[in-house]
Amino acid sequence: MKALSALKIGSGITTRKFGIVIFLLIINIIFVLVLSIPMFYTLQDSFGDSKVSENMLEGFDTLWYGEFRNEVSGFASSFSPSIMGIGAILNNFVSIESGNLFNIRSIPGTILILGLLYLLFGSFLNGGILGAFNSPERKFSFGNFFEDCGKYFIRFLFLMIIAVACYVVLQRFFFPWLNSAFSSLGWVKNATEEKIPFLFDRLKNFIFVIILFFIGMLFDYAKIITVVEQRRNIIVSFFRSLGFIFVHIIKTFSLYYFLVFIGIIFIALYTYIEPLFTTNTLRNIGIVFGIQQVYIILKIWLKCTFFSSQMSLYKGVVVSPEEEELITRTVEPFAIKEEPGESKSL
Amino acid sequence: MRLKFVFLFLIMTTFLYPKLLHGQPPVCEHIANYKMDVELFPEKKTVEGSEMLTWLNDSYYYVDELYFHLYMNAFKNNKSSMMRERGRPLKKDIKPIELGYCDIISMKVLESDYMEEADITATIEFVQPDDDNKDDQTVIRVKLPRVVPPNGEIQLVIDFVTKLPRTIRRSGYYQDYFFMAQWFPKIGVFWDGRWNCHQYHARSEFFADYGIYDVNITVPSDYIVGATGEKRTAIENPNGTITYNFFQESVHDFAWTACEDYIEVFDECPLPSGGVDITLLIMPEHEKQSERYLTATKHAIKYYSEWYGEYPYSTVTVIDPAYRSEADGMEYPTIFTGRTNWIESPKGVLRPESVTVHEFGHGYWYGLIGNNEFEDAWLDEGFTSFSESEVLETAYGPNLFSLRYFGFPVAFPDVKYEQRFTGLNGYRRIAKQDIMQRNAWEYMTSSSYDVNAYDKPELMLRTLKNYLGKEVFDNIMKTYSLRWWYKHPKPQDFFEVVGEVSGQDMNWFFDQFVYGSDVLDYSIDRISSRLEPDSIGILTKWGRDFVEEETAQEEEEAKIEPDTTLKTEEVEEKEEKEKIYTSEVLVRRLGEVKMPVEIQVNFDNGETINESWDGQYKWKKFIYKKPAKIKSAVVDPEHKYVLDINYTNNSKIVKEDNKAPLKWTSKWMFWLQNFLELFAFFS
Repeated sequence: MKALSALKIGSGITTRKFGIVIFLLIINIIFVLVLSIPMFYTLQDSFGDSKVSENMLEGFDTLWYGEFRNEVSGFASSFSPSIMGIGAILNNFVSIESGNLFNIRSIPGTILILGLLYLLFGSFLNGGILGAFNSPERKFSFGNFFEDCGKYFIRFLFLMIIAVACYVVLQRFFFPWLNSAFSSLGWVKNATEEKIPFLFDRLKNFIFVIILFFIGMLFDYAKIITVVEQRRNIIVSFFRSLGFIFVHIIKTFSLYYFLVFIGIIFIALYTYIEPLFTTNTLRNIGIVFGIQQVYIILKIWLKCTFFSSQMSLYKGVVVSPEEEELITRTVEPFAIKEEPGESKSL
Repeated sequence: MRLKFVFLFLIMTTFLYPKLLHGQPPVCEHIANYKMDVELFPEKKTVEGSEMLTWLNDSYYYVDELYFHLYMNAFKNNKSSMMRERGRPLKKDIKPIELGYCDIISMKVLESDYMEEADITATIEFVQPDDDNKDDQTVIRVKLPRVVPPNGEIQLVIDFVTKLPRTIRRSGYYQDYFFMAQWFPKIGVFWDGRWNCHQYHARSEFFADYGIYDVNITVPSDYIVGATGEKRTAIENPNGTITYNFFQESVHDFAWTACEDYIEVFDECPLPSGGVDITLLIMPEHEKQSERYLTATKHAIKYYSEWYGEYPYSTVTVIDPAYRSEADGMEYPTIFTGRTNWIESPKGVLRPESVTVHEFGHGYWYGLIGNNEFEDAWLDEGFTSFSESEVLETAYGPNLFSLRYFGFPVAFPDVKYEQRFTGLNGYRRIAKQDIMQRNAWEYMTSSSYDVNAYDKPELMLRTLKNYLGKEVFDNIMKTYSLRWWYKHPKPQDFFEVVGEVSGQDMNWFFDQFVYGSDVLDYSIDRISSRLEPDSIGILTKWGRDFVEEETAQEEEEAKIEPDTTLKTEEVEEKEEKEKIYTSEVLVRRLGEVKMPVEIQVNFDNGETINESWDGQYKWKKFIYKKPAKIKSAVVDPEHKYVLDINYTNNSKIVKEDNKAPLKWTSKWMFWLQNFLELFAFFS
């Protein structure tokens, strides 16, 4: 199977199971409302009865923001003018790139806790999502969905912990090392022009993105293998995933980067459309909110399509005996006494 | 006839004197004149040579000793006051070649009417006038063989070697890039009967007397040089070096730079009495930003000349320093350094414009008006920041908020920072930490120095401008500027000009802001409207009359048939109009600073009432009885007092409008939705 075929099949499955996407959006909204409602009242208290509210409706009052930033702490301190437009997306990319995602010193505690709960809940829901995609012909029911959620939760939880650990190792050890390695290069160390360190910094960003995507892909396939092959041992799933990626390196990477490209298109579309509306009336506020939710739906759809397409690829690729042997050899040290399908439930 | 002359004289002095004053360029007394011959040795990272100093004792005192700055000794080790104050220790692996110093090889007094020739090198001793740090070697004292009388002049020849540090702050070298500032033995200022010669501090700039600088600089011939003043000659030497002569009168410092990589760009800015030659020395990677540098410089020359007196020098040199040279954003007479990035900021984000306009501005408030930056840093930095915002506002408008994502700038066109409020955020945070009038190195923290030298004085000047009115204030600034060109004013001198030009005693203003740390904060605490209630109780003159009146009224009412028809809309409207509301506005002074304030009260029938309050007591209530309800109230509606630390509480509206909180919550919510999805990547 080719990557594009897998993408076609996967996106078809996700679209057919669109209810899952909507369900995930509702979960996302429920989570954010936990802090958005207090944020609304915080903003209302801050400028609701002042003429500042007129300025904030028409644009952004930087004087008010200076006072607000000075006064607030906790989750409200994450409010900044950069949440506008593309900033809302780019800020988060910077957080993940700079290693601040799990850093209590950079992210207000309440937001970090919410994020970790979302991560945990995401691990729980992934079982249901992958279970549904694994049996696309099966009619969707919440009973089946949550049954799968419970069935795979512990295994996915461990995979999630390993994925986070990989990210932390990357940020704590690999990148500082890469940084010092680059900095000690004569070109960078003795540069009298900014462009050389700048280009090396971008190279670091690029390496980071490649590794991050690889981690994403590796753990996606590990989860897919766990579900498709009903594997109990996540280490086996992990190494089978590694083996599969390397054996089908072109297909797996092509598919992943096709999907990334689709994500970039979504970002570009959002960046183009969002500023077209001046949010100074309830109608326009509603329209922009709608556009934002469409973007989030597309993002969730894309996340699901990553799963469904990769699962289609995994299921659709005919593994030759030689390749299977190669994968088995990769897994061998960890595949003690486990056969596919051995584990049905925990 | 005589009376006519007296009358004419009076007319002239009243109306023409200020014009004459503004039209005539002030004259500079040259106190410290330097003739130098120096050579840059790039391999050794040294500047070696000699200076002939002619010093005039313009005081009423006899002087038997001289003080000199050896600023470069601040970079000699980690024990100097500058290094200790800096807060960041020197790297342990730093090599001696990377440190700096200024060694005097010899110092001789030349023979004159009242001075015999003498070598006074042996009398040199390090002194520390500001602190007890005996390790600091940035100031020396030398004994003269005889006293210099008032108006006496002496000449000294000083041979010196300056070892440049790898730039830690402002001056030194980075690779083959050199910036020489505070690099030569420089005489202190004999002022108020004593030597004013402070040590090099981490949080302070400089102070010196005016003079003539005639400097020969020899460098390898492939180096491009920029310096204070006019480049008069360039002579190629047989040994592969070139000697440039730079000359400038009426300045109090001399700085220069040398680098092979500079690209030279020339331009000119016309002025009524001639033009200013602009030289931009720019690094190749920034060449495409030349126009931005030059345009900003021309704006600065134009507006400064218009507002504070025509720029008197024939040249200005703009330096775009090398990356990591730490020489960016600093001013020297007729030469200054800017700052920019390889990836150019979008239009509307004023980089490099703001730094360019700021540093050029120092050419006035530090260069032409020789403030003592050690003791009155705000007279330079504050005035410069104020003028910078004025020029930027006039020439460019608001600065757009921008962030760099992965090195690429992204502007947020909806977020505009108005120039007139620049500094308010910094000031608000630590408004009470220090008072403005303080020695630069004695503020509690670096942030406090920034706030009290830059932000607060800028906001104070703008508040003063809005209080006195533009015309009066502009006149104050021009008068102060031209009166104090080539002199050393103190804060009191500015206050006197303010009093003189405005015709008002403004000491109450300066006492609060310059010598106090109190804050300004007026607020609308409460607004309300309630229907005037029907009268209840006995309203007659005598209580007993009431009983008789009421009985008569009841009898009358009994005779009238009750009206059972429905009220028409017209009647209802009429009744509504006849309703009288009692409206109240409570204005409070939350800060300790007292200023007279204006209040604007708006009613729902479109009526607006403007009130004034002296702002002295802690609160003031305004009460109105009107057939209209109050809609909103604003204290300081034109936002004249930019020093007010809380602007949100300056206004109150009756009906809370939730659209804006909703709009911004939904934007924040979207950010949070994305942020949570980021976590989901690892799930």
